[in-house]
Amino acid sequence: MTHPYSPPMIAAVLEFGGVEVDELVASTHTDEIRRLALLNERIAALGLTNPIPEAKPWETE
Amino acid sequence: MTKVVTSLHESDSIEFASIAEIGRMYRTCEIDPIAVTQSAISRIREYDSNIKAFITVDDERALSEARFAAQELGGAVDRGPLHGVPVAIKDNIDTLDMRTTGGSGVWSDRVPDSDAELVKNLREAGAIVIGKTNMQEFAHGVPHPDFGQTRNPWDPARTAGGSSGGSAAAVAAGFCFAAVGTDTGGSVRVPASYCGVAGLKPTYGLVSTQGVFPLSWSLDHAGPLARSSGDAALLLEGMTGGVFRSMDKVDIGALRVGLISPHAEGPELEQDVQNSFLETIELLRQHGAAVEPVEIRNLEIGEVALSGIVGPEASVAHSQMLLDRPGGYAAQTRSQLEVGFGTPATLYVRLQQFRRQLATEFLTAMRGLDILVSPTVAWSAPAEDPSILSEQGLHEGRRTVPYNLIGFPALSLRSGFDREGLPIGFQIAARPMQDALVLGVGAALESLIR
Repeated sequence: MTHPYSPPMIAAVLEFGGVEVDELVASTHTDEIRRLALLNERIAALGLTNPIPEAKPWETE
Repeated sequence: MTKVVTSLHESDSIEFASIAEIGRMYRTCEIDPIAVTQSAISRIREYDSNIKAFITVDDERALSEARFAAQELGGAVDRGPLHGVPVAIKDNIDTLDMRTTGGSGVWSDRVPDSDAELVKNLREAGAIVIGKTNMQEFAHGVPHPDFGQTRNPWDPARTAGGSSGGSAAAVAAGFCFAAVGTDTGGSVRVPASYCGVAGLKPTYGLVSTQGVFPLSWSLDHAGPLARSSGDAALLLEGMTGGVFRSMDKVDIGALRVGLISPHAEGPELEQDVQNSFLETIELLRQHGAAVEPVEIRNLEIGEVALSGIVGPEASVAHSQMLLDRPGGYAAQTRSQLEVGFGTPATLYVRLQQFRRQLATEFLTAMRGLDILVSPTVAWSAPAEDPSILSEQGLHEGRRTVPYNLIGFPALSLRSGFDREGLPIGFQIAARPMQDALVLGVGAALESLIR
């Protein structure tokens, strides 16, 4: 099917595993990707410079 | 239907005794774990076809464990307060030789070869694992059609909530004395609120998530659900192998309480929920607590940030299974997992930065305060769970999600009922590792409310 938004990555994952997707699924993607893009702009405006929460890569399960 | 509604909660029968009371009766030989376990199984068999709290119940194994517990207790081997007590485990948590589906068709026949660490700890404490509870698919999607939606014991026309709805409903319906859930954005506290039970999201890392299938490594927590904060504290002690010891004894009159102002209002907040919240605040004040409003900078970003972290982490966790068995997922679940592949990496990193900043904002706002309070959810149990990516889904998690981002402990307890007789939840949060305080406040408040 044709997807209503352009990022090729998303179009690719919609075909993930060769599974058909319906209009509901496509619309979920569209709305959420738009919302996340707005959130990204908003949080970028905070200008955060701190590191991400500590991760200790030498500690394994 | 009427029989189910009126008999599934708040009864004087043994199935609704507290864990402490059951333990006392075991030790005075008034009753034994075999009779209690048999009674729980009978109750599940009678009512659960309507509630759908369980995916798997292992009668034979539970009764075998009950016989062993009775033998140990009779022989003066005492493993503590959970010894011989039937509990349930959410079905995304591995249980040795007991089917663990994650609430998904992908794992319909999966049987783990070991227990999750928290389950090992519970067994060591003598708890009897009576079965595995129903959940939204992999704690992220919708109820899978193979298992159906867990219904609310207070009104089976309503949802029990998600994603730990089976655990909350099982406790509320008297099918077990406590249950384990998982909480990545509110999945213990939301169903606890809808089902009128106590549900704790502990401090991040206090309970091991080894053997719990990940939804989001950054935000996943496992926590207890029980009919009181005291029982939840006992389950937490068992889940942590005794790292958590016991809840604090709290004097309400000495408490300094922060009321998160934006969470006490909002267009989505139902009037009955707001009234119940304000009545509980008034109760705290009447008993001497000092309550003051609190504002937290950038809280509104934290309220909607969940999917920017959960999405990509869940997509990575599921990537191989999405390739191997895409048809095993419900369509909506698969859609939500797929969208995470398209989340911008810059957003993910910024949100990880933001978590630390938000935690600082909370700690700053909490100066001079012991706890923070809010309604748990803006409404009582709806007929169906909203999609987590919908506007309603964002509203549902608005008051719970921030605590997953910052890792602070947060408890939901029942503060009252709405005009339709449905439970309403009240949320109490504190600084990291103050789980004992949160539970102690919960117990003190429950004694005032009931």
